[in-house]
Amino acid sequence: MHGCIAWRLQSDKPAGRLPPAPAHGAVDDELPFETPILIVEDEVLIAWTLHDMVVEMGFADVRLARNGAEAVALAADRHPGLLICDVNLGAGDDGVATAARIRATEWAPVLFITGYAGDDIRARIDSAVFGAALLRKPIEPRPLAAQLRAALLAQKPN
Amino acid sequence: MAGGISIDLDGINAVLKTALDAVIVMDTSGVVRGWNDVAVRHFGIAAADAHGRRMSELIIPLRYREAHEAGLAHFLATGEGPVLDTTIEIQALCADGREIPIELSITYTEHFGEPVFMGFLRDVSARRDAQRTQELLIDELNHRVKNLLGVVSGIAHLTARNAASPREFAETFTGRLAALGRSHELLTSVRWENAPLADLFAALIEPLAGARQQVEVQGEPVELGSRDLITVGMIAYELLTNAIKYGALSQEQGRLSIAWRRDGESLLLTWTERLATEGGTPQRAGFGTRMIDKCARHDLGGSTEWDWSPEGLTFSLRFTPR
Repeated sequence: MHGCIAWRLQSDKPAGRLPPAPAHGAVDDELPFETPILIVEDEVLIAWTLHDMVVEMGFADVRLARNGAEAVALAADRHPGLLICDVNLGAGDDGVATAARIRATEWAPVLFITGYAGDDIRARIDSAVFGAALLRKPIEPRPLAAQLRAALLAQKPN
Repeated sequence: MAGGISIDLDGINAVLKTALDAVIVMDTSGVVRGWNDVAVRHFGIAAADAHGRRMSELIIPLRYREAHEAGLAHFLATGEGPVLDTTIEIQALCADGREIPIELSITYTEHFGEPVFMGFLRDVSARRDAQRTQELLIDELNHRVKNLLGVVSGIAHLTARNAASPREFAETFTGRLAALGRSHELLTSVRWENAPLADLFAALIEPLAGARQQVEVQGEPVELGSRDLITVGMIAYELLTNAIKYGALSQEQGRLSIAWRRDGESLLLTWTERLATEGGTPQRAGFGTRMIDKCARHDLGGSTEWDWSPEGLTFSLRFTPR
C-alpha cells in the first residue's frame, strides 16, 4: 500500500527535476543561483545533459564551451563564478590546462569531470588548479549538486 | 686456474653453439669464460672482447653492479644464491649503451672441471613492446568506454525529458543506442581509423528493409574520422526516424535523397525528402531538430539549414571534417 502511494507521489513530480530537499547534499535555497557557470565539454550530449542538470538545479546563467579556446574567450567575457570542465577535450589544450589558464585571471572554483581518474590526473589537477574537485563520468545529478554546493559555499581565498 | 683444474671450454662451447638463447659462462671469480654467438648478436660484444673481462663490467647496468658482486661473494661464502635455478626479468646493457629487457636464468655447475655459472639470457624486448601496446590499448578502451557511457547517459537523460511515456522512452532510447552501435561497428571494422561516409549511410539504412528502395544515396568518396562519423551518424539517425514517422518514408511513394560533396575544405551534405502527397503541418523544431542543430554546432563546428516545404523537408549540413 505504502509503496503504491509513494510511487504515485514520485510520478507526480515534473520529469527530470531534482528533489527539492537539501538531503544528501543536494541543492538548497542558500546557493547563489545568479552565479554565472561555464561548462567546458567537447561531447555535445554530455555538455547538453550537464547544462540541463545545472539549469534544473536553479542556476540561470549557464554557458557551454566546446574546447579550451572557446572556454578562455567566454570566461574573459562572462567572468564565470564556477567552472565545470571535462579533462579530455579532444584536440588542443586539455581541461586541466584550460582551467589553469582561466584561473590565471579569474577566480572561480573548478569541478573537473573525467571518465578515467587515475592518480596521474589527480596529481596534475592538484598541481595546476588549487582546490579543484573531480567528478567521474557518467555524471549523476546528486553528486554534481553536492559538489556544486560545496564549491560555491566554500570560502573564497583572499 | 685455481687448484690446477681447468674449464673444459671445448665441451662447453660445443653446447653453447647449439643454443638459441644467449649463453654466458662465468667463473667463480666473476670473469667471463664463455660467450656464444647469440650473446654476440644481442649485446654487440665480440666473444674475443668478452673473454677474460669481469661480467659486472660488460652487460650489467651500473646500478646493478654492486648487487651482482655482493651476490656472488655471498654465494661463494654461504652456498646461497636466490637468483640461481630460477628465471628473472632484468635489464641488460648493450655495447651501444642501450638497455634491453632480458629473461635470465643462472645455473651453477661443476660438470666442466672448474665450477662455473652458466647464464641463459633471452631478449624479451618484443614481448615487452607487445605488453606495452596492450596496456595502451586497454587504457584507450577504458577511456572510450567511459566516454561512451557518458554519451549514453546523456542520450538517456535527454530522451527521458522528451518522452511522453515510458513506452516512448524505451523505443526512442533503444533506437538511438542501436544507431550508435552501428556507427561503432563500422568504426571497429576499420580499426577506428577513417571510415567511408557511404558505409555509414548504408549501415543506417539497412534496417529499413523494403523502404530502402525509396532512398537514394550518392556522393563522392569521403572518409570521416571516428568523432565526426559518430556525430554524423547520430544526426542521420534523427533525420531518418523523423522521415519514417512523419516524412517521405511514412508514405510508400515518398522519396529520400541523401547527397554530399566537398566544397573547398568543408563538406556539404543534403537531405532531400519528397512526399508523394503533400502532408499536413510538417514537424518543426522538435527534440530531434534541436539535437541535430546542437550536434552540428557543438561536435562538428558546423551549421545547418532547414526548409520545411509542403513537398517535404530539405535539410543541409555544412562542416569541416577533422
